[in-house]
Amino acid sequence: MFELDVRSRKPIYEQLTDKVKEMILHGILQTDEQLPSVRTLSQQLTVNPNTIQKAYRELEREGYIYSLQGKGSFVAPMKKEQNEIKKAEVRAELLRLMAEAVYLGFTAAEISSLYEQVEKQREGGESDD
Amino acid sequence: MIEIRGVSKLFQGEKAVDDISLTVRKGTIYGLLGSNGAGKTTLLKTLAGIYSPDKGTVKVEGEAVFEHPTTKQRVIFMPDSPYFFPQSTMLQMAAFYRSIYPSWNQKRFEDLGTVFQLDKKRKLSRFSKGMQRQASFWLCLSCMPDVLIMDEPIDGLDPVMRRQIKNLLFQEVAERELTVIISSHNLREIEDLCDHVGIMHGGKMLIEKDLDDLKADTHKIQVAFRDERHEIPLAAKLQILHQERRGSVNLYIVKGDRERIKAAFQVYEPYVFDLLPLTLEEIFIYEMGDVGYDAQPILL
Amino acid sequence: MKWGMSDMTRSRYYFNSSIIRQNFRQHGWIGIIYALGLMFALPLQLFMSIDPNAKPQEIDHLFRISGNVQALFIITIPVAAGLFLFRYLQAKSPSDLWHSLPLRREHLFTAHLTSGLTLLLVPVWLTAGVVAVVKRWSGNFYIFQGADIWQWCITVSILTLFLFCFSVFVGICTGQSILQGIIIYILLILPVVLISLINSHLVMYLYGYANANVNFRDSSLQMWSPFVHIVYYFTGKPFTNTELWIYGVLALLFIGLSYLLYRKRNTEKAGQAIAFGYFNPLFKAGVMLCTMLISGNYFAQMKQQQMGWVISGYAIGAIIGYVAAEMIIRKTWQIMTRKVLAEFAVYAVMLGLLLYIPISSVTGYEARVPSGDKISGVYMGSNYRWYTPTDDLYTTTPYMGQDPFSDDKDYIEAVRKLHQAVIAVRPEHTSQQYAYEYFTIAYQLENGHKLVREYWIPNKGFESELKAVKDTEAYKYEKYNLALLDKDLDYMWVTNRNKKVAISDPQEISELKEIIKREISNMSYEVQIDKDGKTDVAGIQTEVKAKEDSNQVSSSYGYYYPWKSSFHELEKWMNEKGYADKIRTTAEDIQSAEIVKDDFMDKQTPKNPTSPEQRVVLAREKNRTVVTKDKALLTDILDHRFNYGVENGNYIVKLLYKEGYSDFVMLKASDMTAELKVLLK
Repeated sequence: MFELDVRSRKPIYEQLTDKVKEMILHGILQTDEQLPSVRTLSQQLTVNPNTIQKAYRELEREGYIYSLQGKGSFVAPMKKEQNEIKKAEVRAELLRLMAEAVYLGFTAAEISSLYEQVEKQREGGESDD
Repeated sequence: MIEIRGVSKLFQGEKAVDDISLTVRKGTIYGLLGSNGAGKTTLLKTLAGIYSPDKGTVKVEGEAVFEHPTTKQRVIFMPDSPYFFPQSTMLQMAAFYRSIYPSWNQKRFEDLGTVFQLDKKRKLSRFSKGMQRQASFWLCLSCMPDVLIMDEPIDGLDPVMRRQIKNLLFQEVAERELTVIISSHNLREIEDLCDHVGIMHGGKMLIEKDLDDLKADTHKIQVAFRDERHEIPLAAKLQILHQERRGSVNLYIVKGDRERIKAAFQVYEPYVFDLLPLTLEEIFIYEMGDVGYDAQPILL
Repeated sequence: MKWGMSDMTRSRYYFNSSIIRQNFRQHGWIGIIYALGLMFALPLQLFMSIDPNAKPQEIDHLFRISGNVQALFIITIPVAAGLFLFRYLQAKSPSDLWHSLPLRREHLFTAHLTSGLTLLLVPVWLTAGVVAVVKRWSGNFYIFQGADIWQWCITVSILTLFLFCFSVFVGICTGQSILQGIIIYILLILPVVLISLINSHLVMYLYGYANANVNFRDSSLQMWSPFVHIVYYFTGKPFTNTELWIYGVLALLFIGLSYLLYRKRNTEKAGQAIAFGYFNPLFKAGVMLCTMLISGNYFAQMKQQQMGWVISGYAIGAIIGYVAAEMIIRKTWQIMTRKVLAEFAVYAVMLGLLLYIPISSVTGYEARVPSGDKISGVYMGSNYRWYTPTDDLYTTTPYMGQDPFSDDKDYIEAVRKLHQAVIAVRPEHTSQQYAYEYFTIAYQLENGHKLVREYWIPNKGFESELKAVKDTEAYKYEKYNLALLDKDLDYMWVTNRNKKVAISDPQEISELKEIIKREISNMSYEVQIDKDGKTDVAGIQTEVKAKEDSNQVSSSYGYYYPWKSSFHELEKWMNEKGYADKIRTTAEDIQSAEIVKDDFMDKQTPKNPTSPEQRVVLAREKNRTVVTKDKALLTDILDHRFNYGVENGNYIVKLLYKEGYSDFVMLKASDMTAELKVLLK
C-alpha cells in the first residue's frame, strides 16, 4: 500500500503522515476505513513500529484519524478547519504554479479544462463530505 | 523501563563511563552510538549486570540488576563476539538456556528454526562468524526477554538476514513491547532500526534524544550571501556546529528550530539558500567534530 | 525479600543442575583421568608383580603401592580441576556469559564447587571401593587391612579436597589461568623454601645460630608443604590425623574465603594478573623477599665476608624481584615511571630492615647467655641433633629419645663461661693452623624453654674454658657414649687397623665395660685433646642392633672407644687377657720406615701446608730421607712415635705396612733413642 523512500532525508514518520494525509485527501482512503495495524505496517515496510506509532499519533492529533481501543485506527471524517488550512497551502502552491503557467503562455481556457479533468477523475471515487 | 542514573565505571584508574544518566522507555529500540573506546560496551555490560557500577544505579522497572537473578532473568545480553560453551551444539546450548531462563519458549525456538536455517546438531564452533551470530540471535530471541541488549550485532550478517532480524525485532517490539538496546557503528542500520539514540564520547553522553527529534534539530544549510559580511551576525545568533566554504557557497551545520533558522537567513536575502535534513551519520560526525574528534584532512 | 523462593527453588539456584550438567559435559574428562589414574595406581597394581612367584607381602599403608604414581595424580588433577572449572573467571567471553546469567555469584560458586568435588571425590571413593572388593582375590600380592583402605580413602579425599579448594582460592585471586597454576605450586612449596632460605640467611649472619638442617625427609618440614609431603610420602610417614584435620579445616577456610572474595571480585579483572588490588603489595613484597634472599645468599657464599659484594647481592635481588613482579602485574616490560623508583625504594628499605633486624644486635641473640640461676640443664657436644627423633627411616641414632641435658652445676657453670668467652672473642673459622671443634651449646631453662647455639671453637685461646668443660664427667659421659656401656652387649672387638679380635665372654665383657667407663670418666682434658701427641694403642668397638622395621631396614649403631696410651688400667687388663699382644702394632707389621731429616722443616711454612706425603716426596728428591727395615729400629720408632703434627724440630716418619697402606707419624728429637740418632746422621 505504501512505499517509502528510505534514501530520502525526510523522517520516515513524516513521510508516513504525508502519505496518509494525501491518500485521505485524494479519497483513496475513505472515512471510517481501517488503517493497517502498526504491526502489519511495520512488517511490510520493515520500519520501527514506534515510528509508525508516532505517525498514527500525529495523525490522530491532527484529527485525520481516530483509534478505537482494541480495534485499531480508522480514517476520521474530514473537518472543515483542516480543509481550510490545506486549502490555503494549495492556494499558495497554485499561485506559484499559475505564475509559471502564465509565463509559459497557458490560457485561462487551458487551465479550466485541467480543472474539469480532475473533477471527472474524482467522480470515479466517492465524494468528500 | 530502564533507568540509568549517574553511573560511573572505572577501569584501571580511567573513567570508562563517566556519570551517565539515561532512561529507556518500554518498547523502545535504543541505539547507543559513540566513537571507538567511548565506553559503550562498558555501559551495556553494566546494564546487563555483568559489571557493577562504581557509582550510580542501574534499574530495570525499578529493580536493580547486578546480582539480582529475578531482574536478570528478563534481560539478555548478546556480546559482540558470540560465545558458546566449547564443543557445544545448538541443541545443547538451547537446553542450557531453557533450564536457566524461565521465560524460554520452546515453540518459539522451533518456529525460529525456519528463519535461521542452521544445523542444530552441528558444533557451533564450526559455524562461520555470521552463522554464529545468527545462532546467537536464535537463542536470545527464544528466551523471550523483556530487555535485549546487543553489542554490535549487525556486523557479519548478510542483507537478507539483516532484514529478517529487523523484522523479528520489530515484531517483538510491536507485539510484546520488547525493549532493545543496540550499540553499533553502522549508523545506516541504526537509523532504520532505532527510534531513540544516545551518542557517547570519552565516557560521557553527548546527546540523548528521540531520533526524529535529533534529526529535526540539526540542519544542513547551503547559502550564498549577497554580502560576505552577513556571515558575522549570523554566527553570533545561531548555534553553528560546523562551517565550510566551498567556492562562493557557504555550508553551515546549524542546530535549532527549523523555521527560526530559516527566518534568520532569509533576512539577508541570500542568492542561494537550501535547508536540508541530515542523515544520522552526518549528525554523528559533526557532533563528534564539535567535541574535537575530527576527521583530519590529510592527503597521503 | 525480592526472592520469595521456596526451598526447592533455592536449591535449584545454588546447585543448579544445568550448570552441573554443563560442567560434567565440559570437564568430565578430569574425573575420568583421575579415576583411571588412581585405578591404575592402586587396584591394578595389587596384581602386578615382576616375580609371579613372589609371596604376598604385608604393608602398613596403601601408599606403598605405586606411591609415586598416586602422588603424581593427587598433586596434579585436583589443581587442574580448580584451574579448568573456574577458567571462566580468567577470560572475557566466558566471563561475560556466565555473569550475565540470572544467577548470583554464590550460586555459580556452589554449583561449580559441587561439580568439581563430585568429579574428584567419586573417583577416589570408587577406587577405594574397588580395592575393597579385589582385596580378597587371589593374585593380590599385598596384605593389608580394611582399616588401611579407609585410611587411604580419607587421606586422599582430604588432600584432594584441600588442593582443589586451594586451587579455586588462588583462581579467584588471580586473573590468568597460567599465573594461577604457577602461583598454586609456588605457594604449596613456598613455606618450605622460605624456611630453607631464611635458615641460610640466619646461618650466615647470626653468630651461633643453631642450624636447623633442612631435610626434606623430615616430617616436621614436610608439614609445611603438602606438595613435598605427598611427593615424599612413600618414603616418609603417612599423614597424621592432626595433619588431616588441619588440611580439612584449611580447605573449608579456603572455600569460605573464596566465597567471600568472589563476591567482591570485579568481573573485568579477567585477564589481569592479580584480581584484587590489595594483594599487589603482598605479591611484590613476597617476590622481592624471595629474590633478595636467594641473591643475597648466593653472593654471600661466593664472596664471603666482602660486605660490598654482599650488599650488592641483596640489592640486585631486590631489583630483580620488584621488576619481575611489576612486569607481571602490569603485563608489560615497560614499567619505568617516576613513581616506580619511589615505590621500589620503600619496598627495598622495608624488606631490607626485615632482613637485617633479626640478624642485628638489636635482638641480642648473639650475646645472650642465660644466667646460671635460670638454667636447669645444659648440653655441650656434637650430637645434639641426634637426640630429636626424626621420621626419616634411614637414620637412626643411639641418642634418639634420650634426654641430652645434664644438671651438674659445675658443668653448667663451665659451659657458661666458655660460651661467654666464645661470644666475646668470636674466633674466625678460617685458619687451618689449629684444631677446631664444632659444638652445640644448649641450655634447658627453668621456664621450660631451650636456648640452643652452635659454634666452631678452636682449642687455641680457650684452653682453660674448654678444660673446665671437658674435665667434667657429664661431658665425657655424653661425648664418649658411656650410656652404651650400660646396655647388654653380645660382642666387643678390639681393633687396630685391620687387626680385630673379638671378645665374647660375658664376664670379660662386663669387666671391660667397667674399665672403659672408669678410664674415660677419668680422662683429663689434656688426654682428650691428645696433648701429648701419643697415638692411640687401639680401639674397642661395640655394636648394638636397632630393631628391624617392617621394611626390613635394619640399622645398627656402634661406638668406637679409644684405647689411649695413658689408659694404664686398660692396658693391664688387656695384657692379662692376652689381647694386647694380639692387637698391638709391632715391627712385624711394618715393612719399612722412611724418615725425613729435620731441618727440612723450616722450609715449610704454615701458609702453604702440604700433605705429609708431599713432604716426604720432596725430601726424597733432595735426598734428605733415610729408610730402614731394621726390626729393632722399627720397634724403637713404634715405641716413640707421636701423632703426626707440624712442628719444627721433629721428624716425619712414613711407615709402610706389610698390607700395603702407609701411615705418617712423628718422632721428637728430644725423645729419640741413640740408635735412631745414629741412623739419622
